[in-house]
Amino acid sequence: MRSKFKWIFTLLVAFTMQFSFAQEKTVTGVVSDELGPIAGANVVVDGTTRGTTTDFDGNYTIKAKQGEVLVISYTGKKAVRITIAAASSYNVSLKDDVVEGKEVIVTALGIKKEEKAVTYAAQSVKGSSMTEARESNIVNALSGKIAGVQVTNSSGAVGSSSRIVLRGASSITGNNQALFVIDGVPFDNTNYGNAGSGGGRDLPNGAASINPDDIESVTVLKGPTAAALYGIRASKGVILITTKSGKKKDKFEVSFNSNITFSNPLLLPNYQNSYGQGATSDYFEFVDGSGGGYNDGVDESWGPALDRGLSFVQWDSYKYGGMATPWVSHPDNVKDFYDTGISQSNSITLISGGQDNNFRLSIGNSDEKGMIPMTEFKKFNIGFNGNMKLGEKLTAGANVTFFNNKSDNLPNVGYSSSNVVQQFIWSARNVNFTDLKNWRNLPLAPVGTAAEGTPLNWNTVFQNNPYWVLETNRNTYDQDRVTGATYLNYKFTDNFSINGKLSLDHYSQRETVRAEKGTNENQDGYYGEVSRRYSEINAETILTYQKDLSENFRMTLNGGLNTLKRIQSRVTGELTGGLELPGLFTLSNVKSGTTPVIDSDYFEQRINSVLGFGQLSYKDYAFVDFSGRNDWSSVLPKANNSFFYPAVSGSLVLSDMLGFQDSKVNYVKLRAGWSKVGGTGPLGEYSINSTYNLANNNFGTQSSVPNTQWNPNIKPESTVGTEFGVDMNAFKNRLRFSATYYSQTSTDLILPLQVEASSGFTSSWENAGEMTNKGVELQLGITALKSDDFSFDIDLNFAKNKNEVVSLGGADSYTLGGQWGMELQARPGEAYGSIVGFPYARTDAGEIIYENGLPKVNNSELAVLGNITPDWTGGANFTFKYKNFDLSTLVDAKIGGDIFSMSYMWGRYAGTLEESLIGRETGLVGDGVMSDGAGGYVANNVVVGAKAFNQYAYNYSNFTESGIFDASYVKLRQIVFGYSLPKSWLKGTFIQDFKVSVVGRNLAILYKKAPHIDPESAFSNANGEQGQEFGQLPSARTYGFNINVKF
Amino acid sequence: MKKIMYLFIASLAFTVVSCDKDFEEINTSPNSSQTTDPNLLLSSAITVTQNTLYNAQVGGDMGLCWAQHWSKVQYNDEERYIPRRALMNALWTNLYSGVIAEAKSAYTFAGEDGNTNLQAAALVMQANAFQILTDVYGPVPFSQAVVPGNVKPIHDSQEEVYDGILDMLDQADALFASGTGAITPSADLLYGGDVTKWRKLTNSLKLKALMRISAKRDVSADVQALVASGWLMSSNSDSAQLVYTSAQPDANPIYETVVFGNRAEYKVSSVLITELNNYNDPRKPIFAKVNNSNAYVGNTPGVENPGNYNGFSSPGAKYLDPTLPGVILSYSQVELFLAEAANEGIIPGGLTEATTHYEAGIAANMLFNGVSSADTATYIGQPILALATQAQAREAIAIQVWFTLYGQGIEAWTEWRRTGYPTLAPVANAAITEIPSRFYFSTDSQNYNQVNYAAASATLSQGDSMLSKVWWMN
Repeated sequence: MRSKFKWIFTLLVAFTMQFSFAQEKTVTGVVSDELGPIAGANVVVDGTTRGTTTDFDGNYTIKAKQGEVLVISYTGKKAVRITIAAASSYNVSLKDDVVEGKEVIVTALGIKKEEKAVTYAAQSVKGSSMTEARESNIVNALSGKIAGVQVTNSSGAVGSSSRIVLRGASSITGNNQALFVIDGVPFDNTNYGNAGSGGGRDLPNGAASINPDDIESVTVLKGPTAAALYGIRASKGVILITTKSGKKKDKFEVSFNSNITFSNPLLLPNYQNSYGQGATSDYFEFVDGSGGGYNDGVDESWGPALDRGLSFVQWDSYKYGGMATPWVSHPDNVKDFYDTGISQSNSITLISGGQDNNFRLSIGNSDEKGMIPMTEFKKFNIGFNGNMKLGEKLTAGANVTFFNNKSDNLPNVGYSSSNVVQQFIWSARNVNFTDLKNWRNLPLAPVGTAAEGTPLNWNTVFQNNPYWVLETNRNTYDQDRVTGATYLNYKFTDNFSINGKLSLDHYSQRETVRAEKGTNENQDGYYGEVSRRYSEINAETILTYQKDLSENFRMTLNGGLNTLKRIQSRVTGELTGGLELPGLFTLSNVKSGTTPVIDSDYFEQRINSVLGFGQLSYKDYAFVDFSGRNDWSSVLPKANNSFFYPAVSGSLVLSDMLGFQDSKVNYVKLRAGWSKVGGTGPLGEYSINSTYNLANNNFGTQSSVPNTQWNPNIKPESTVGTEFGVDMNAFKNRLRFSATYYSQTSTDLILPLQVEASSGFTSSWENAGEMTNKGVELQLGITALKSDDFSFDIDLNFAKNKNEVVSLGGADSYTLGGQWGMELQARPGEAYGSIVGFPYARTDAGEIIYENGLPKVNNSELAVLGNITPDWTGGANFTFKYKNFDLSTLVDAKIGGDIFSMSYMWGRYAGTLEESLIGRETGLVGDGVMSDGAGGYVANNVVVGAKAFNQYAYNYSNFTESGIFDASYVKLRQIVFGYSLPKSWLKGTFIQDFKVSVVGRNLAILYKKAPHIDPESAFSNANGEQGQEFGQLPSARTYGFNINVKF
Repeated sequence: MKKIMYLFIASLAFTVVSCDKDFEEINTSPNSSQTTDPNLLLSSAITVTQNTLYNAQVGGDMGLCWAQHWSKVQYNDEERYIPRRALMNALWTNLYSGVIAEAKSAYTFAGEDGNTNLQAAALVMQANAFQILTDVYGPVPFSQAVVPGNVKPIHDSQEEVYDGILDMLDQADALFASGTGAITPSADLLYGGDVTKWRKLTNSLKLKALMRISAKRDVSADVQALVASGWLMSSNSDSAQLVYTSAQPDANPIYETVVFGNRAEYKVSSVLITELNNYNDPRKPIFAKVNNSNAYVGNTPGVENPGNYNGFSSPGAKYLDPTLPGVILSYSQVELFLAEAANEGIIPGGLTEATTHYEAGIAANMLFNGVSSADTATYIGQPILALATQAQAREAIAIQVWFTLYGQGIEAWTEWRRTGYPTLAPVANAAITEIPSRFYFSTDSQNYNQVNYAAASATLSQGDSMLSKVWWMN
């Protein structure tokens, strides 16, 4: 009705203005929005080829006749039509385009769909939300922003890995993390670090290479239905990254982003400051740090009281002629050890083009200096993408990115003297660690001590000088990576086309690990070097056919082929026997009489696929997606190597169907989907037939029977998923709600089932597991306030996933990892990641039973004492905008789940943590019961010395239970306060946009229960390294500035 | 357009037909072999056996500390019978999946080659591993152990395991007797390919097995037959020992932990020093070093003296040397078994025969420890060492066994469990009231083989605890 009226009106105008009708005149004006003039807006005379774009100041000039209609449009804004009347100047104010369901989402295989045509749970975040308060590792930037994305950052060290799991674990031992796909290229996310509870160094996961400045948007395809087209990797969900391109820009634009942040430890353990080094409180004397004096070889703090006027000969008494020095506390001795981390990143992006011919060129680098002294990490990347129309029917495009990630030193983690945090837990509270810093000027550790020949340290038995360790025993990492794709698209007709694509992800890297002679765990030194090469090539052809079957029915059909070839190779060399010359780290520096360990391997696999998919739509409000894919995988036995999996899903936009877009509830979409995806899980190459290993050592070459029983009958695993969802907007989109329920069952899970060694094997490849994940994902967006100058938005998300290991094919449990007495297991009937160990002996009423004042252990049964799986995760994002200011804060939460903290155990054992003060002078009485001698129990009343108590009750050999804590946390994850210079100020300059922001990440832990540590912790992003902590490298609280300029 | 469509369909069809072309070839490992040289498997079985037994946290923390040869001034949980379960598991796992599995595979490959000598050697390594397993854990899988396809083997009774061990050694002896084929000298880390010595080891291990169960069964006919056969070890050069190399990771594990890994808390025990002093033993300066006041001071078992690394005697230089041999069975122990057999009437000859073997056993161990023959003669000549009565001889022989097994932690503890000499009390601050009689079963059994674990535990007098006695102890 309205448009008809408009037409009549136009006609009327035309008639009345007939006099000047034929006169073409120059029309000018300014196009702006609430923030000021818009540069690059399109101004077109409707129905003609006349068009222009606005200049830097939003001005346009165009020839038009009276009565003609100007269409003014700009990306993300509602187009405005103006009919030219007598006037020759028309200023236009554009409003944001918020037509519901029109937002375009990139879905599987890069297919762009309007939001309303998306039939499954998929959620996007804009790249811009990750560039201001920047995380070096892109995975961390996704934390709290999207419902159901569970991120665990291993530590605050530079170059540390992060784990990203969507909708819970669905594989016992295989990868549980989402697949990363960048511009259609599967991007390997492997972490080659060897970090674990026993030491080693963490390396970044593959996706950490990605420069956030290059990202246009990230779409998270949460479930198998959304991801089915990605084949065997789809069951874990997909993180689809689309990089910026010139498609949406009609002209040349340069943008520059610069970011500098500083970081400090977010929290450190609460150490006690009342007692110093020693095993007894009577006396202390340092002679050699190895027991030559009195208790000077003890790396515990059960010694004499501090700050009571006592003086003893200490490690640095040599400076005072060997005199006793005051025995005093240094409450900040650990805090002072850490440096202020500095991270700088800069990137420049050049974009030009338009829909048909366009390019982007970007260069970025970042340079991070860690909080742990001498650690650093550098990233560099240069990327290009471009598309070109070659005639009417052929389009070609290419994208290529080169990455370099490099570190001259990454820290060690876990229980190892190479992890310097270990000597803060096994520690002497009277030592000022920074006095050890200038190690070149320190005397050497005495002859005959373990640390002989290395700079003096407060302890020379178990530890080296920590600064010397960090500077001398470097772990390096250097990766060159190239990823890219080229494609050709040929349109036979408007509705029939073929697309061919060739993509590559390739990297080679070198890792080295060093230990100088005299290093505690490697007296003769150590050097190890690994060179790796990885490449995955995908060739894909897809034929697309679109047809409007009738006025209301539209159909898209696609059919295609994909072939994947993945090659991995590795050469390693290790001087396990030691170094001949000190200070020389090369594989030829073999200690005489020892044999270097050399190994190499090569892995190749192929997957060939045939796939078909399509969408049927009715009247633009009902959509059905369907897909089918058949894979042939080379890692499976020939008889079982082919597997087919289908998916179907649909959505119904009720608001369009029933026509209530203008009511209070203005958008309602229902969706449902079912899918089955197959996979090979953790099954690697060459796992079908038994082979014999060879190893070379000082005894010569030896051969061994593999510890894994191969299985020639292994078959593919599969995950069947269903999901239902609703998306609903109300009050003109000021209230946005989305909910998804899903249920996924993974069966025939392939795993190297652990078996008892008397079978001759320690594991056996089986199709043995079954796991289910059921859950809900909720999102709620509220635009609480909105006016021209001010807006306030709240975005909340919540996800609850219930995971269950249903079966392990008759096996009783599977051990994923663990430390000391604790085992991390998959157990039937439990959620993935049971924390298993020996519990306290308890009465039927649950009270801990004591004997001689010490708690008793129940050694007879390994018990499930906790589980790493959280109950729910969520995030809350608050965004305020006032004129040119914006302020956003992100709070995220992970509630439930447990963590086993060995820092707590050893910290109490060693008398360094605050809790070890309880009963130091008086002794303590454990909370529980003891035998009354007549078969019953009475309250425990036996007083035990604090040291005896702590060394018994917090001893790994006795108990696992005493180190388990609730791992819940709520974190103030991010605050960004930004200011954009008003466009009017920039008028007359070449600058289009200028924004400066003050940013902060991980600013506070608002809630947690685990003492002393950040409960978001892991040794690395691997399955078996979750839910455990020892010697945590502190998480980083970062704050700094970001400047973004567009020219 | 149609042409392209046909081309596409044709290529689709082609792909579907050839979608797994060459896959089997692609999935054949270029990294490891489909077959192997059984000699290299034997070599691996030997080193895994000894690396496991000499692991300072297994043979040291549990074996030597429980036999009270050693005592730790710090971190002495294991010494106080609070073991690390992972290390108890390691002995189980390594012997089954790193020794018996290798030996069984070597036996099969050697059989295909018609190499009966190598087959016999593989049986010997298996029998040795099974005996350690049953002696340490009690009822263990034997008949169903390392049988492909069976991932949940049942545990056999200890009698059945012993029957199996003896049978295996008989088979090995028969194979050596009619032996064909050679054992590659470089891979034979015990005897450099000397099949004669392997046959002596076979029969000497049988002697060890028979003597261990001699309180439970009448073994005299079998032991006498062994003596008569002449195939028992007859000199130190017959001892079965792995000579470690001078550098890690193939140095003696004791060196690797204590010296290379800086675990200065390992000291000799006061009990050892007392016993050495009691008999004026010339092995004292070899078994122990002096402390910082130039005296031999052992640590009192179970008592912590944290950080006092210099006030107590460390193990002697020979026992901290990277090349300390890892002994599987020594000639000295064989002689002492024979001394016991004579003393107990298992073989004829009484105290006289016992004394001959007793002195030969002592002399052999003195020689192993580099004690001069003069000092040895002086030592043996002491009246306190003479065998006088059966009861006194029983203790005297057992004490020499205890000395001889210095360094061989698990075996020292095992023989002590059998003989009860020297008289040892549980350590100070002990977590349980007795010196352990066995290891807990592997927690892997609890985790992955629950039914059979429970059944085996039920056969033990106090269940799966360290207090349940193994069969031959009762």
